Amino acid sequence: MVFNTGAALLDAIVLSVVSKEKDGTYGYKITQDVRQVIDISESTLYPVLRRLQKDECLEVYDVQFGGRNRRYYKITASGQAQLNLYRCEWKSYSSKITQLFEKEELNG
Amino acid sequence: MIRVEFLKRLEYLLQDVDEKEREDILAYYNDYLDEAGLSDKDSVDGILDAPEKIAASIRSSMNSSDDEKIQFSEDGFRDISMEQEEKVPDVYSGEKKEEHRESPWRDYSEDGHTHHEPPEVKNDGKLGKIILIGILCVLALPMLLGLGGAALGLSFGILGTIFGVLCALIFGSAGCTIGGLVGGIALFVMSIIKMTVSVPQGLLMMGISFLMLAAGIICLLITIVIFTRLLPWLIRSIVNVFRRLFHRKEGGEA
Repeated sequence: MVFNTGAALLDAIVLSVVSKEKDGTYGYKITQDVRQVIDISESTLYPVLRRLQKDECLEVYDVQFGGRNRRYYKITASGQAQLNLYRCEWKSYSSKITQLFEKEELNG
Repeated sequence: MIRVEFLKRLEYLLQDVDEKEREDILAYYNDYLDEAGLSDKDSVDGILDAPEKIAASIRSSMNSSDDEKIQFSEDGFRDISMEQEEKVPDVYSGEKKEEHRESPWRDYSEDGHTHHEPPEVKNDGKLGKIILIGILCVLALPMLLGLGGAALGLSFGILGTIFGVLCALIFGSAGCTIGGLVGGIALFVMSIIKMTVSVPQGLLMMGISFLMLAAGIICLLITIVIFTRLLPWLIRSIVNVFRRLFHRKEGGEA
């Protein structure tokens, strides 16, 4: 991928992925879902999840699954608020850049 | 590297991390490999990065979240470190054109490069410094205690002296005023009485009484100055000193 994904954008993507599942989702699935959108290594997400959890944007709970523990991540109210903020920011950011690129196309 | 080795290595690399934290990390990657359907003997290559890299990225994220995230909200440090590794083999595999095509983004990736290495180095330096300072503090403790005691004694001595001088000044001037004025008036009255008996003696006494009155008035003026100017100023400056002391303390603790 040509563009770097900054920490804020990665946070936003992870929050968005997690928010799609009402009952929460687990690390492996989050990673696979994020990898559908951006090209990141499979080991990247642990620090992100940890930090979002520390910032109380995500909460965790353990579920017994097939005889072992599976840790679920679920978005919190403040995580939802953070995600909304990211969405607004992204909208203005991306639309400005899109506008710029499209103008260039017209001129060229 | 097979799964068992990978987890062992990761655990080894995270030895100095808080135990609960380490358990969480290992559980996460263990779960992850379970979900990916790997058995203990399966290789994790191509699925997870090298344990060294994972440990480094976790460590840097811990540091940055403790240091108010400066390192990475600015330049997406963690991410760049991940993407970098993916880019490096591209460049090495001989595709020089790729490198050229990416030059417009050089600024970004270079930013990543410069920021990728220093944080670890910086942290080591910081830790070393903290340890050194700690050792220095412990070694210097007896001396500091002695010095502190001396400084404390000295400051109490100075304070006591100042207080004494002040008291002397205040009470002395007040006493002189009262003495001078009362004595002067009394002597004046006595001199008038004496005048009826002996004029020269009476005149002498009257002269002395005037001198005493004059001295009393001067003392009165000094007392007035002390009470209206010096004392309020002194109290204000003492209050200021304490206020500054406490403010600094609050600032230091915060």
